Amino acid sequence: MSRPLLHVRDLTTTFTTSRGEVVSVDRVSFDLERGQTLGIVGESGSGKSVLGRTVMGLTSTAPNATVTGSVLFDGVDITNPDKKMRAAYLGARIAMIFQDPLSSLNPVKLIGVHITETLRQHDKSISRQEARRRAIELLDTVRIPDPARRFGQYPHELSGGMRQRVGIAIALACRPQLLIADEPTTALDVTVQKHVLDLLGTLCEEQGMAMLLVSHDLGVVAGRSDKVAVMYAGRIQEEAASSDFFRHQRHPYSQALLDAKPHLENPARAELVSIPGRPPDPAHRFPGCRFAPRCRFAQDRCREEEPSLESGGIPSHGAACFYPLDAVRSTKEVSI
Amino acid sequence: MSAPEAAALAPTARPARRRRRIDLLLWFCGAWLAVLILAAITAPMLGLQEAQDAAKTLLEPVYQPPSLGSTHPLGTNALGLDMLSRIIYGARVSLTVSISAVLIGTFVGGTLGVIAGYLRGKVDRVIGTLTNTLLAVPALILLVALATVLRPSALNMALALSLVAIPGLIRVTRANTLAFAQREFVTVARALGAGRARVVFRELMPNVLLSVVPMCLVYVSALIVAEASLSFLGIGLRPPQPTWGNMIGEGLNGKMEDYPHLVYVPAAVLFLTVFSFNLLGERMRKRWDKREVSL
Amino acid sequence: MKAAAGKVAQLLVVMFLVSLGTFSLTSLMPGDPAVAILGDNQSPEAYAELREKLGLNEPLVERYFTWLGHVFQGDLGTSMVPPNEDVTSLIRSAFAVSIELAVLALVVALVVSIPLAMISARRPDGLLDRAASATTFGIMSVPSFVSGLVLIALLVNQLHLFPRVGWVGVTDGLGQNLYHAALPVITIALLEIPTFTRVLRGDLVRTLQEDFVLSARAKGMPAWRIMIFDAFRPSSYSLITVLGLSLAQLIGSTVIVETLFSLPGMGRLVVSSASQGNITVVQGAVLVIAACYVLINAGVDLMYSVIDPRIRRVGA
Repeated sequence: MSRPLLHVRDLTTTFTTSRGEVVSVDRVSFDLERGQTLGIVGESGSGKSVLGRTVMGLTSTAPNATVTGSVLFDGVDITNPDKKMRAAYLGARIAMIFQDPLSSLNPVKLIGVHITETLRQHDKSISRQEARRRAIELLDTVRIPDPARRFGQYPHELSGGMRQRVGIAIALACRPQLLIADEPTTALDVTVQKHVLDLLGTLCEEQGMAMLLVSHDLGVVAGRSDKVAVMYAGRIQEEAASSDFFRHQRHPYSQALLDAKPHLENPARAELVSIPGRPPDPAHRFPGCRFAPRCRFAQDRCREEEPSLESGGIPSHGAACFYPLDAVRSTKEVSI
Repeated sequence: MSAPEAAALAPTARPARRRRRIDLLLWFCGAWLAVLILAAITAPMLGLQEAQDAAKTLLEPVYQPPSLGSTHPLGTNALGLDMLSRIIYGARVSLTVSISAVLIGTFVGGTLGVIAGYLRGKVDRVIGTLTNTLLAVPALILLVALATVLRPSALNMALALSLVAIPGLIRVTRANTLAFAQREFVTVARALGAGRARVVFRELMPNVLLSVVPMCLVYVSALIVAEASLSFLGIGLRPPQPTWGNMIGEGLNGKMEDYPHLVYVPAAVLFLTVFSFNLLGERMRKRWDKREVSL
Repeated sequence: MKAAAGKVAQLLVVMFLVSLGTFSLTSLMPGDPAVAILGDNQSPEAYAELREKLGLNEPLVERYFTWLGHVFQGDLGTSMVPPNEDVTSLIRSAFAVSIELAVLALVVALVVSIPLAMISARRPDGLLDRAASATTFGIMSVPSFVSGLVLIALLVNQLHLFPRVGWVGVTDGLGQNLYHAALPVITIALLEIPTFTRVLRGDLVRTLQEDFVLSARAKGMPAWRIMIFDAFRPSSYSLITVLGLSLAQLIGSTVIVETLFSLPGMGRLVVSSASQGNITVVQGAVLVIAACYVLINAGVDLMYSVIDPRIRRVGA
């Protein structure tokens, strides 16, 4: 078997803040094969966005952030990239799409310039005319009608869905091998969401791109990813092939997340109504399973010992739980 | 980005060690102002050397450089007048004139600003035009123009300087009034049947005036500089009345080269005072800004 | 369009009020203006003549409109003090000097403060930021006549780098002109650098937290490029405002520096006229300076729409 495109091991991101050390991403490991899509799902504050940015090498420049562990991209360590490496990889081989397409486009720059500057940054030999032609082509690729006219417009003149398409066009500019999509549709109208997601899926397939699809919404990930990882309080709690995961969830948190899914009218800040309590304060860690305080099935062991993905006992369907749901159910059935 | 993530990405809070050093600077500035004001108030009782009357200093040495242990710790000027004494009497003038100018400016500007912000509409437009008119003439030119026609007395000086502070204070109080008028306590007062005048003077004025205190401190320092500038140019208060500005002006015409203390002593005092008022204003603004955020 | 018309109307009202205020300066003079101007040991004929010349014998309103009429024809009257020159031409030559000083000083101030603000904003609260902030705060508390004297003591008396006083016009050679302008320009620039740096740094820090900066980094843009091409323009609104205000203020506020270095600009013209009670010159100068302020402010409003495409569309 060839080596994976992205090989992440024990990745940890710590921020030093006035409230103390905040571990936003805690010993996260996963692999992503070429052309595949990994969906990363979790509530706000679970660390999923920071994980995306850390893989991209964007957190390590923050003066108060520390990144440990390793990120191997195509066999090359890009965990704490230096200037040169950043210029060679960011935007060229790894690209990113952001949550809010309006605020992630510079309001005083033309749509076209956003794309041409990326092209010219990574390939100095491209002429202005060539860059312009390619940019219009890219706008066409992301199904923006009348691309030549859009090229000369400003971000505020486009609708939300169009702006996100521009964001995708920018990301695609240098034909990256990996696309990190951080809540790509959260800021969009429900009707537009599906179009953009389908477009992303098609483009990945056409260009053989791998994608890290970060979302709080399992519905976004369902049907559009090969693998799913559920994050809670900075850790991956469950990881499995999509087909397995959506058939049955093994971690109580995953199941709760799925139960809480239909929140389309207020998706961004949806609370998990089915689970009492709130996610733990990342500045105050406690021993044991992080979900234990909110878990219906928590036992004494859960409060003393921290489970790992292997604790669930099935290697192909990892669950950081000592009493995964299939086991709980069976014991329940026995007790009845 | 979610709230906790945003908090985590925010710049690091300052370490405690730095806070302490800043406080030290603040204390130093506060102490300097306290000593200066105290000395200015009690000047006649301090047994200082002669500051104004050159007839009494005929036997004193002239241009004596500063020497801390001597009878003239900060030296003497061309007429043998004692620099320390002139600095303290100069402080009396500078501080009285600029502080009273700010008080007048705050009263007039504050009242107009609150009225403009509360009543809005036509009154607001009239006051706004008035503000723009005052702002259209640079402060120093306005002062010089007024100095052309007014007698150089301390009262006239304070009135002229207050004209410099008024437009800025109108703008800030107006903006703050607009903000405060949205608050519940104003709505409550109005619901309880308070008239316009009562709302303006009893509810809004105290809050708004308190919020411009930091700005007033900065204005005090700006007006000290303005007053000194006028005296320096020779069109403010005239000798023999000592002011920091005309003391520095004495160093012109080649005297500074031979007797640098003529300039450095009053310049240093001026700098320390202006710096202290600025720092006090700045720190106060920062602290109150924080309070606003937590509200 | 309606907003623009209202703005123009307000500017006209402001100019009207300024002219009224300037004109009534004479009435603020205590006692008889003629006595105040000439001193009190002249012949009664001299007073009468001056009063006639000032138009003091006519009613106030009539005098104002006569004066305003002349102003519109570019005639600001004649100087009260021998050799009784034409005020308009006095102001014209002084204005050229002042505008050169002001523009050069602003250029110097921008050249220093833009990089300084960028360096500070790169790591807010970092060592460089704190050092820059402390320095600018300190400079802010130094009046220009003090900094000017210190610069003279250092650069002229010790190092003999610049001439102590004097002015050479551009027509007499650019090199000499700049040589004489250098020290005054530095002194004025010192006044502006702290404000410019602080304003721009604050806006840059805010802009750098925007998502589009993060997305520029994700595109692999180097930090310096992001600072200059992505963050600077959206961060420059407050700077433009301050810049406009400064330019307007500087045309008159170079008073101190012009006096210190004996430069024949507007400031010194006003001050020397003021100390001679030469009221017509003061009036003319104040009027011209106020007109500049009003025009520059209108220009700043226009600038916003150039920087921000969003305003452009809304305003149209």
